[in-house]
Amino acid sequence: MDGKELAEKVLVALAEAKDAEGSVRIKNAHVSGISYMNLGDYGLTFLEELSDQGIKVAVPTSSNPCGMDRELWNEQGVSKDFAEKQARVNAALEAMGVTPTYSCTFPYEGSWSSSLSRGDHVAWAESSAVVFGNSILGIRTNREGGPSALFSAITGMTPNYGMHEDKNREPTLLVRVEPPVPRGPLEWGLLGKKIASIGEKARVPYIDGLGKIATKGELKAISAALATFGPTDLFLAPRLTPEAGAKPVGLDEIVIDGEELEESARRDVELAIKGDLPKAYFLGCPQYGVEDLVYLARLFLNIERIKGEIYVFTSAHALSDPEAREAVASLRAKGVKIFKDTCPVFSPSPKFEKGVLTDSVKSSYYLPQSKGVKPSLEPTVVAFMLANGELEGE
Amino acid sequence: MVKGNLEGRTLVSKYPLSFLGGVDPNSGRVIDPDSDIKGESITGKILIYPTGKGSTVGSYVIYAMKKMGTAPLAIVLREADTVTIIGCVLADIPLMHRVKPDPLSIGNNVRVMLSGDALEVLE
Repeated sequence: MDGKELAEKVLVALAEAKDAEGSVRIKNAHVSGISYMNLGDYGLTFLEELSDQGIKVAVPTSSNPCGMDRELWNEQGVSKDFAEKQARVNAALEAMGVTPTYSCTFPYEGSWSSSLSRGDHVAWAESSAVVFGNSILGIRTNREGGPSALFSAITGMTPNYGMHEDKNREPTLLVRVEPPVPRGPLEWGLLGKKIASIGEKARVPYIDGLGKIATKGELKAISAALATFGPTDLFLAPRLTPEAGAKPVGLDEIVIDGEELEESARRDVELAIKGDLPKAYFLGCPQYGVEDLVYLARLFLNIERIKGEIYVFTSAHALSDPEAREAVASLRAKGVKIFKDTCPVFSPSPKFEKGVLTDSVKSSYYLPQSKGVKPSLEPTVVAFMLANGELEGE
Repeated sequence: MVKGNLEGRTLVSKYPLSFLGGVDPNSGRVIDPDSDIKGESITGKILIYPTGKGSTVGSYVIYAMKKMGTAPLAIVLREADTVTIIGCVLADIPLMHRVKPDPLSIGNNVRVMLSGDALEVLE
């Protein structure tokens, strides 16, 4: 096969199927589907064949999490066999010029995001980043798959349809959150899930009631949940997203009760106190950023040694920040397990055989599929309670 | 989308198909427990289903099946999806969608001909 020619053929076929208005040049690309756990030998062989031809990406291209922490895979519990296969996948991608970011948040959190401007076209294959980028940064990307983003990276082009066109970025539904959404990534994730569950009508929701400010963690949570549970690739919110104009008129309208969200977020806290819930908590889906790591280190400040198991997943770009490194050192010293480059959904380990708690609404959908474990959704404060020995029972 | 002129026998499913996990690439058989063509071999057939679903790695599975000789002869969908399109381009398997009559109304094991953008029932 001729990889470059194939990449062009793929784009032409996709453009035809989507009735695209030709193609647009992209500023960067983000490839996914690179964990050996998903790719298997079929994907590995394909990527190696492609890279053996000397094919290179034409634009800066970042990579989604792979199946392991590239340094601490052994400590993470990943087998040597898996690690070797994953290293071959990574080597094939890197030989094609893909930057080894291994992060789901790099497209909007990493060093390239500052060179993106509103209206720029990109091709990203991580759905939470797609929603964050379209909504918060105002860039334009469809929800690409691993292969389509890779072929866009090779050609430097993407079919011009969907999110790349003005007409598809207009609000389709007005959502009023009353009283306003309570604080916290779990709460914002639950709101995203609720909106996404409306279906096709919620393709571009205009959300009123998110307030004037939001933490990065909350924005990541709502973006991830909207993408996981429905067709939304872009949401509009006054003061939070650059493309939200005045409140739209004449659209269908729904009202979501902010208090109800709060209640459902706290529903299981009592159960946790009774000791009926797992004694492991997983944070970092999407991967934890600098702010999240610093927050967690402060939350755990007065704990000497944590009880139970706390897992945190983060990225190399977050750890390039000295404040983040300090937070990680302090958390690790207390017994918190922290890994980068990967996430539990894409990695064979940890298995969470005895169940797990998390504040990530997105992972509550993907963990049952990838691990056969249904996590219990608990607010971040329950991670503190667990670590602080406040959860009784076995 | 991927053009081809050929003749073959149909295998029709009413359900969306995932190539990753839904098909065994070694045997060419459908292994999705919920599929109405579970256990059937798709090898050498004109495979008809509404649209693709599931992991985008499915594209690489289609490509691998072609190399192993277990791939379908052609694929006809009601509405093409990204996973199937990319897989068919990579594997050079003829692919059609939005054809008349509704391809799902054609029965199993019927001889059909693909030419250009048209699908013709031969019997």
